[in-house]
Amino acid sequence: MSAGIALEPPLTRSKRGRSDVLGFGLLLVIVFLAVVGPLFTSLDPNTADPTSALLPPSGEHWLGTNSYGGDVFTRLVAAARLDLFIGSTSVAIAFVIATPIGAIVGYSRRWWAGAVMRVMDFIQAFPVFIVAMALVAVRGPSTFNVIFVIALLNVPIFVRLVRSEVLALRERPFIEAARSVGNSDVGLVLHHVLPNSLGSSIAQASINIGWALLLTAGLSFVGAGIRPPTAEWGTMIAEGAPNMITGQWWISLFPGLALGLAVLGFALAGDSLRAMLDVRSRTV
Amino acid sequence: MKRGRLEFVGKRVAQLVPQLLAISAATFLLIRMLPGDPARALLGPHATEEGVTSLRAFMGLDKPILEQYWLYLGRVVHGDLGHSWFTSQPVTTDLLQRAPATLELITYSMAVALVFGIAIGAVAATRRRGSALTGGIAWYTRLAGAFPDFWIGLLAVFVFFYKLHLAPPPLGRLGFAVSPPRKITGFLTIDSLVTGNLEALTDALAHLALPVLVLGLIIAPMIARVTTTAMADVLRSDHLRYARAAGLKSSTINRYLIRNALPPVITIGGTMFVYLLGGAVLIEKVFSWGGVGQYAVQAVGNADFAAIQGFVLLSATVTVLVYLLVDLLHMAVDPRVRQ
Repeated sequence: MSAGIALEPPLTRSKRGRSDVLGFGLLLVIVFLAVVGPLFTSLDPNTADPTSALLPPSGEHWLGTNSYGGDVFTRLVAAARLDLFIGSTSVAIAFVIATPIGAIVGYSRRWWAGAVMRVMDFIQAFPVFIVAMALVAVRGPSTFNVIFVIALLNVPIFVRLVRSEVLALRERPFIEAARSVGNSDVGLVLHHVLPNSLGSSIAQASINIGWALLLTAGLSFVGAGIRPPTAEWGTMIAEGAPNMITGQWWISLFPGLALGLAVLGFALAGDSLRAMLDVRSRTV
Repeated sequence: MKRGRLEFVGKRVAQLVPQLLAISAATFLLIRMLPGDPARALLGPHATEEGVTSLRAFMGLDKPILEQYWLYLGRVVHGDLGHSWFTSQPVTTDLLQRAPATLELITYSMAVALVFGIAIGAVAATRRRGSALTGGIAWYTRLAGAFPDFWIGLLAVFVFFYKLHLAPPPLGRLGFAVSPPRKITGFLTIDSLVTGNLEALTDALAHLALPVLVLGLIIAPMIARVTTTAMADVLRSDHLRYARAAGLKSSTINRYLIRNALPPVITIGGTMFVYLLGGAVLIEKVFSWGGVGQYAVQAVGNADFAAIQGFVLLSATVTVLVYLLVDLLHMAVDPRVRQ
């Protein structure tokens, strides 16, 4: 969870196709699991069954059971729903808040536009995880507060991105043309500048959902996120942590694997989207 | 030239003042964001009515907010970060006691990341784009960025402690049977080396191995990427081609190469150090490390808000100091910065 930046260098064109398939494929599997997964299991993700605690993976419990007899597969699927919900809502909220700010800061030539960016620089300089942990701890661990804090931390990333796009666009001839035929500043930004700057924001949004998943899991792991017994990938990893010393690997392994593959999927899909949506890199 | 350098250092150090003020304002507001009475929250579940009343008066909660901040700032400047209700000690004492453990962990992780990252980055810079090595590094970067570090730490514990018995149990910095060295720096490796306590030295190193390798190897690919780009840029530059054409010794050319590729690597090193402050919180929990990170996790679990506030203040201060150091190092290796 380094930062809200691309996790990897762009691939060469010949390798593009393969990573497109892998990225979107991973996302499809995770979303499929979240949507129809509950059909494959008759168990409840939050029930405790001490008689079947710490069972290894088997035909009955596909991914084994945890220390109080919860079925790991059932919980994994329930967690996928919750995590995808937290990741996508928090990023969507940040997107909605940050886009107008970024557009104004990018389009305006006033002194305060620069000041806003200095403040964002300063905020972004700090270890994101520590800031998030402190904020959620103070507001109280809950799904709502996790979404709120992750959205808040995503805002500067999108502001910066939209701003840089708008800065590049405002000098372009077609914007000049739109201005000279009498469009107002507001109209210009809404109808011409923003629609043209959306591509990279959408690509970034995909990458940031993955980043939000990691942050959510990390917060839950230290007790400043989703509270157990609610099924969430981070709380599930935390549940299994003491059992790693005693050999019951399946409790933590599977949720971490699901989380990592989801993050990888969102990152690869983000790269693919950037290549697809970036008008400038497209050869005419 | 001399004057330019001094001026740069002076200006850069002066920036610390507004930065530290902003940090203190943020940590002050953090406590004000607590729902309900901050004095009651700070005193924890065993608060008495008199205690709450006297802390309210001490924090100046009946006074205007700016005056409250001024009081808080005065306490912070004097090293008073409040009391942890959980450890019933001053937060400053708690943090100072635990800081060396975290610092030791981060320093060694950083060393592993730099050595390994620069090594593979430098080799990759000499290969063409799209070679097996650069492709491998790209996938390594992806995977290291996607999978949570604390989970990788847990897997490492399972494999190297439970299965292979190569690592000690993930329960702190020293085995229970080993007597710790006399405290000098707080770094167990250094203290045991200085006092000649070889048993403690080997045990401390054994305990460091897993967390350091996990953190270091997760960070290394980011450093490798920056190293590759920086070195490839220098390799293509006119002045290096000229140096080669002029027939300079290869050791001289290598010195030019390293010197010119250094600034971006220093910058990413600083960013990664700050990232490690956050990453250490999670890894410390996995290995029961007993540093400030684990202290913070404990504080979160106990709603110990004075401790949380103190930890945020400490890590934010370390952050701005690291960036100051990065800028000064930058200036030392790149004369253009001074102008």
